[in-house]
Amino acid sequence: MSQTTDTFALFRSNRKGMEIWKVGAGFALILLLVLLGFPLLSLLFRVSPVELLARLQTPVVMSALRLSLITSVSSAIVVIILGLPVALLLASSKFPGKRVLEVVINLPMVLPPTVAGLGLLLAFGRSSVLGSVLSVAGISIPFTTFAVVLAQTFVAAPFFINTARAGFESIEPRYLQAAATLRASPGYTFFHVVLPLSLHSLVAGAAMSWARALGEFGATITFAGNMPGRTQTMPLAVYIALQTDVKSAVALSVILLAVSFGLLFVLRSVVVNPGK
Amino acid sequence: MLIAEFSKQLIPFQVDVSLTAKAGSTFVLVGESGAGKTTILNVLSGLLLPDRGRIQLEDLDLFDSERGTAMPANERPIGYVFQDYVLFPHLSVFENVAFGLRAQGLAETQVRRQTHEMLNQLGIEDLVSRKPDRLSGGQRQRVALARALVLKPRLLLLDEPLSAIDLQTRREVRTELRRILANLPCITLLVTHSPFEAMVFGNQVGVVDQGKLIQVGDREELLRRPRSRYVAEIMGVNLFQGRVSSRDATGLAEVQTPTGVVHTISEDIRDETFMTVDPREITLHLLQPSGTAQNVFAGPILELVPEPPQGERVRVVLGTHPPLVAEITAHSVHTLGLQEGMSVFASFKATAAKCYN
Repeated sequence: MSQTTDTFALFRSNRKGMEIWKVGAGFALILLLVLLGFPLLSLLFRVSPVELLARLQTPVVMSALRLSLITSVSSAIVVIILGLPVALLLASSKFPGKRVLEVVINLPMVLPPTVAGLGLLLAFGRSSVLGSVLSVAGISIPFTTFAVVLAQTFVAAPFFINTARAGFESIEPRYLQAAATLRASPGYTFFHVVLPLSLHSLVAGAAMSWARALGEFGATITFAGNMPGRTQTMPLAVYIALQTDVKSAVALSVILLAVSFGLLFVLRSVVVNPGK
Repeated sequence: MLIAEFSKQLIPFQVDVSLTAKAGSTFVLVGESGAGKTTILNVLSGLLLPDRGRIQLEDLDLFDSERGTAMPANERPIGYVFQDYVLFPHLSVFENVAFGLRAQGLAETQVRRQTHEMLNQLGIEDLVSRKPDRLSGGQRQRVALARALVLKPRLLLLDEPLSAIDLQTRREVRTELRRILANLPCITLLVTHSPFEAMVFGNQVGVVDQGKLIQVGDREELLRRPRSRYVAEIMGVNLFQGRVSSRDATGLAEVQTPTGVVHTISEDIRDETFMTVDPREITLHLLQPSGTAQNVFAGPILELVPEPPQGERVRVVLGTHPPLVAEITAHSVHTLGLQEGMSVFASFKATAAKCYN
């Protein structure tokens, strides 16, 4: 749609500079590939495909896999439902305390997950006000599957909210003005103009927060514990298996690796850079 | 009938408007870019609220600062064709045109019937499934028009409708737009920076400068009786449109206009060209001049109009072919003894005829 210009064409026209640059860039690339690629390859070639399949069918692996899928999808859904209005609010209006709200929303991205888990435990545990009210009603959140979803939602939310907000902000206001002059209500405009025009960002944000939820470890183990079948997700199972059964740990890791790779690949080719 | 009286403070100046437009007519706002024309459209459409004033469209109160009422933009029966059209990029031509009908919750069969009728009327039914990025400028304009007109607005706003059209097709699109607008039952308010377009489209023309509507009148009135230097400057040009019939190596060209031949000199002249001649570049003679001016025309003086404020300059409306307006000093009028109905010769140099496309 918009004309693409080649920003770095001028750089490339400088022959001598280019050669020095190529050597330097190549060196950096090799170092990075060793650091990033070597561990990944090590995972892939540690266990033969036959053994991988066999390990996958053990009850511990199966239940961790199932639990991870259920909790990460649930938390992604919660993140979308709660994050969408918040992202729209941040993108569309100014209000007192907005800066503070932005920081609070982004805090989970930089906070060590164990700290997040501890915070959740103190907020919802039996000793807290909220926890004691809930325990009167016979409800206890910590160390349940629900706690896993809460922990994942906590750490994953900013990924969706930030991306969705950027998507909303990238919509030119004239489209909303045009919709208004065509007698569309704000609600109709949101569903028929704003959502479709920011769909790429919303999908990308949802996928990123889902991936973040899938990989969650620190907050989960602190707030939800490590109970097979109830709170032991894949990353926890990998950590536990490592202490007794390295091959199962590798098998679990390979699955997480495959899912993450596939997700990112699809994201980059379909959403981030369509047609490239 | 549209009656609008409002003011709105902008950073560089305050926009003060008082205008009345009749149903079925086209009112043109002309002025330089940044004069506040688009602000006026935004206020009328409800996208921008004025500081105070009153806007009434037939029996509807759109805005009244005294009573504190303002009808939301999406409830006003007003169509708005934006300068760059602002078609929804994710919707096809059909869906763009159907957008307003669907937003109102009309039954799908009704939506289809009315949308197809409108597409048909504007001759774009073959584009239904195209996305806006696959349309030419002229086609986009039609879609934007269709999208606004399908809602049967009582007031249609057009912001620089031709500025996004490339020069090659602009005349064709302009002619077509004129035909469409001429048949509309609603009030049309069109904004342009081009005096020529103002002349072509407007029954009534309002001149906007620094947010003020400094003169309102029909074309003839503005052309012949500008009440300020600014209006004279933007309206008082001699404008020709013609086809180059011959040219030589020095750039001297002969342009055939519908009412006569004009000589011009230009390095960059196209086959079809517009030309303007500043009235002050035109010299009047009692006898056939034999000087260096390439353009000499004979004809009667139709009107002598003293220029404000003191009338020290006089605009002379001539019945030459092509018709000309000259501007000379009152002193010259006196010494030559010029009177209405007298036959004179008018001349100007080829360099005085400025070409543009």
